[in-house]
Amino acid sequence: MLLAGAGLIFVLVMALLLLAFRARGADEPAADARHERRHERRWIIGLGLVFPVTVLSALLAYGLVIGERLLPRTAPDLVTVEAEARQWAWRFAYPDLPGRETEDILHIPAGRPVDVLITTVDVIHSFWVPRLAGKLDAIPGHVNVLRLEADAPGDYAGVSAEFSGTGYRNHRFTVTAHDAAGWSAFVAGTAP
Amino acid sequence: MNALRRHRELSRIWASDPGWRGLLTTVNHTDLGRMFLAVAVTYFFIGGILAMLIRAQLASPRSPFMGPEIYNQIFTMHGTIMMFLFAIPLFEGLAVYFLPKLLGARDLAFPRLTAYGFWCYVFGGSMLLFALLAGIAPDSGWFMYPPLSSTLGSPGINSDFWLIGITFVEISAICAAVEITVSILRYRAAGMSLSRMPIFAWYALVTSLMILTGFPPLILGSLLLELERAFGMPFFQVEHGGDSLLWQHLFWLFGHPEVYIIFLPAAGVISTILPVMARTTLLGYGWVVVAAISLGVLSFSIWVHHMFATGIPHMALAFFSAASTLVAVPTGIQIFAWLGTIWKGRPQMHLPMLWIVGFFATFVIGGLTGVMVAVVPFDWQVHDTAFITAHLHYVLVGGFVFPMLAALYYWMPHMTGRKRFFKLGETAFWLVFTGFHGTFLLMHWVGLLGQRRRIDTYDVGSGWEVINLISSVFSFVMAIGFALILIDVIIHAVIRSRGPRNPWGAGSLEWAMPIPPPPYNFASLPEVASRDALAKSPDLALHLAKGEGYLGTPRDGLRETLTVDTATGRPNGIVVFPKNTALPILMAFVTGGIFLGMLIKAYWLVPLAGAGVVAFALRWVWGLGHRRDRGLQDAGRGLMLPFASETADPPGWWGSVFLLIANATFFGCLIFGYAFLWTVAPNWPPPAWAVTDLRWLGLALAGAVTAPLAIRWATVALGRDRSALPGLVATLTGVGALLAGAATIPLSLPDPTRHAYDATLWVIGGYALFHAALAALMTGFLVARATAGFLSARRLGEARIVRLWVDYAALVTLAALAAAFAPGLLS
Amino acid sequence: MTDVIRLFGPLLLWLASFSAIYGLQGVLCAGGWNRTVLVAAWVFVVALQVVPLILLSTERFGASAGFIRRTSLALAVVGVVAVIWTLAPVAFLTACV
Repeated sequence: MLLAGAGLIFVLVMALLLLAFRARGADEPAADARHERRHERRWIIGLGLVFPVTVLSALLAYGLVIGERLLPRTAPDLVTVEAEARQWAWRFAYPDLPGRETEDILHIPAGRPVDVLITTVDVIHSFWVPRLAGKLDAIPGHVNVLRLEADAPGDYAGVSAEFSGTGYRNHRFTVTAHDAAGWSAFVAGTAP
Repeated sequence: MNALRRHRELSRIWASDPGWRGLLTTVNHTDLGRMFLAVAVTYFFIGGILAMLIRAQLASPRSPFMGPEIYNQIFTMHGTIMMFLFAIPLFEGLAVYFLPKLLGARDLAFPRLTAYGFWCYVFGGSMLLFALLAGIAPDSGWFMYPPLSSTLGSPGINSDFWLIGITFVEISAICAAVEITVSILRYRAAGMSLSRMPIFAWYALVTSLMILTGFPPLILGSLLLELERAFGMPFFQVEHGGDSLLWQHLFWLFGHPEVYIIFLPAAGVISTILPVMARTTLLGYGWVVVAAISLGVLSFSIWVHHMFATGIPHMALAFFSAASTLVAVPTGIQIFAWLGTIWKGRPQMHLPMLWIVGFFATFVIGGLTGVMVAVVPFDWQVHDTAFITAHLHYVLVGGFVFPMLAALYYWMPHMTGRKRFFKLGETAFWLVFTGFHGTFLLMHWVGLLGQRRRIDTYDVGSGWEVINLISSVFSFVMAIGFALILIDVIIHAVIRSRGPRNPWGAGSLEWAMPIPPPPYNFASLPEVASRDALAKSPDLALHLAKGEGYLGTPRDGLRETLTVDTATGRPNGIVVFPKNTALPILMAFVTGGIFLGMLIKAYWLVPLAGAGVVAFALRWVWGLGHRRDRGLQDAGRGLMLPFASETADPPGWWGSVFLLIANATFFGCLIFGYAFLWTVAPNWPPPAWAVTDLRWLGLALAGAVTAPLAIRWATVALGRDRSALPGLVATLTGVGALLAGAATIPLSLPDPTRHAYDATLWVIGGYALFHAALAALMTGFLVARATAGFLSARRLGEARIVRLWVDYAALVTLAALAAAFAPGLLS
Repeated sequence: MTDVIRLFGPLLLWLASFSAIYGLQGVLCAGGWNRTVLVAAWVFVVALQVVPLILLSTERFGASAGFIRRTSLALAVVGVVAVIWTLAPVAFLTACV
């Protein structure tokens, strides 16, 4: 939708530009104040002011509404996990399952909201699973909370998305979303 | 005196020294503008070669061409060079070369400062160039986030080159910004009121004010990070009360205005060239001024959009998302004003116009993707991917490089007096345009597919191979196009094909002089009664050459120009400029000693070079002014005017005001950093608050009252033809009290490495100490000047300048003491 | 110089208000959230932003005529629009998350 809108605006601007070069009669009336004001009204106020303000306020409102929806609000079946980043691996912990830790694979249940508590032990990293959510940085001394939810069970690829030095390229992890039975097995410790 | 004799006489007075010595001692804006442009373009090609290396590396997956250690240096230096060593200096060069000509003056406000800024740029840039060639270049990305760029992530010397070299170069930007601001406000043609200024001057004014307020946050950040790296002062280390987010705020407080500092001059270029190509006037001049000023101020409220993924609460992000969308409105107004200008005119597709069409096609796409990333949820997906790389190149290349190429072809006839010989330019355009879009258009898509930025290679089977290969192939096409432009320029420089004086039929004043321009610009200075003065009086150049304007008769071999009232353009003073001198390059060299000492950790060099800078500065300023009043002088056309040194607000006073604005911004950011760490950083409060004997605070307060009053007493005494010395001595006492008060801050906290609180207060205290010492030095200098007879009832501008700095020292010392001791006193 | 202040003043006031509200939001989230306080502060800065608009249209403080008068008034209007548009989220977005 964004692409379509942007494409249309681009075409409009280019059309206006190219049409401006169209051949015109050699004897244009000398530009007078009235003509100037008419041009000003049409171009600057109409196209330069009213048009962008309308489009931009609609876009802004849309963006803020979507942003609100993505916030980590309380939920009854919420699962909390911890993601600790370092140069260049990930360690995951499960506060509801004390003592459980996994390296480079994060286990979550499918179909339930999950809060990921993101931290780092050294430099700034970023937790990004493109198919599940936007990214959120791991900042030293801070705990950032990302809400995600996997609609279906499966494996989802994740990467760190903040440049962190020579090992940045391969700083990856996987998120395994289990169905209900698989998640029970994971919680009980009977499945890897 | 006839025109030819006048030309010879003025040329003799204004010319730079011949040969190589001329380069080192010139203070002429035409020469220095050319030098800035030449060095900036050289850096463009260096940055371009680095880009070619990046594209060669990314052309195929699993490329063995470079490992990450080298690749990280290459992409960091590509961004750093393009942003700091190419884009800003190119604007400086353009402004330095053209503003006096556009404004109808003979030079900028502070010619030696122009030279000093140039040499700081050259020496600072050389540090970075050295690092690149030696393989020890900065490698943490051009925005250098700690902890990666600090001692934890980069223990080597690489980051120090960036922090120290870039700060050295920024001196050049601040100098240029002060000078451009004062020049636009005071050094114009008679009768050129603000509303009659060429539109480029408005854009340059907004840009300079943005530099004055936008660069200090980065200078502060660089200082803090270097102090952390060199001395362990933990501003960004969370274990000791620091926070790496502080760097991000300071950096982007600079970084966002920076890209508008880059765009606005290009917009000014378009607003100048496009109407001439369309053989009409700019539609909505007033609207465009409103849009430029709005864009300048609004751009300071959107920096957090570079930090949408850092965990800042959504409501705060919303402020910045809203502001980021709002900023598209003044941009849109300019775009449509330009389109409307073409519609009402009769456009011709000359080569500058072709580049402007290229700008439209490219920048609009960049602006549209920019609005997309202003939408927070969208940014959460594309942040740190190739989509952003594509967006930023669309706006920077489309919005800056293309307009500057239009400027190149528009003004090259002016700079050389020749016309183009071969028509390589059109071919070059199509190669660059096609090459650019081929490189970057599909890059948006591969970013959406998940390719991150700054990775040195990618996996086979990722699905990104084809797009990356296409990008790389087209990048070579673009490179060939740029090479052709370089060849075109060389041909133009070599082949003497004399061109007409005003080939575009433009109406602005720079075309009302012989081309290539003589060192004095105008044989006599014009009086204007409208915008586009040349269009209204086509014979203006001839009249000026015949001496019919102001200051048409050289006086005592002096270099003279007019200053005018800011609003109305009424002439109100004659300025005498300095002669050729090596002082600027020597002072830049000694300034380099300060930076070099920090870089190689030879810390003894820092205060030594600092003392050297002070000595040179005193020598510099001592050469100004006169030992006796000289009264009104003949400015031509029956007008009698005083020398600017005998007015109440000489140019140096204005320069101080704007420098203090930059300075105050720096201090404001420092206080912001303090407040930020206190409220946001974990591990606060510190182990102990600073405490001191209240008597020291009382002493400082007494000083803060005495010093400003005393300097005013001295100035009033001068105005009544009495001695300023009692007042100045009293000022020194007051300043001494300020010094003592400021010194209690570091003395009350013995270990600046203990906690970010201690470190911050050391910087705050150090800042107050520095300004108190500066005020003392200036007051002492004034004592010497008074004794030597340089001050009088008419010549009291110098005292008023020192008054500004004494007031400032008093204010910041009080603020620093409050910041340091209030928490301890209140708890 | 007065003309420079007339032109840049209104938007600089907006920038100060914007920074103050952003800072206030941070302080309230750290100390004790109170949307009423934040909204009241917003209404205050909107009202404050109208002041330069009024002042610039008077004879005493405004430019006498012509270009500076029109341009400074237009910029004052931009300031009012900006303070409403950029800070409106205080009224209806979720706090502190």
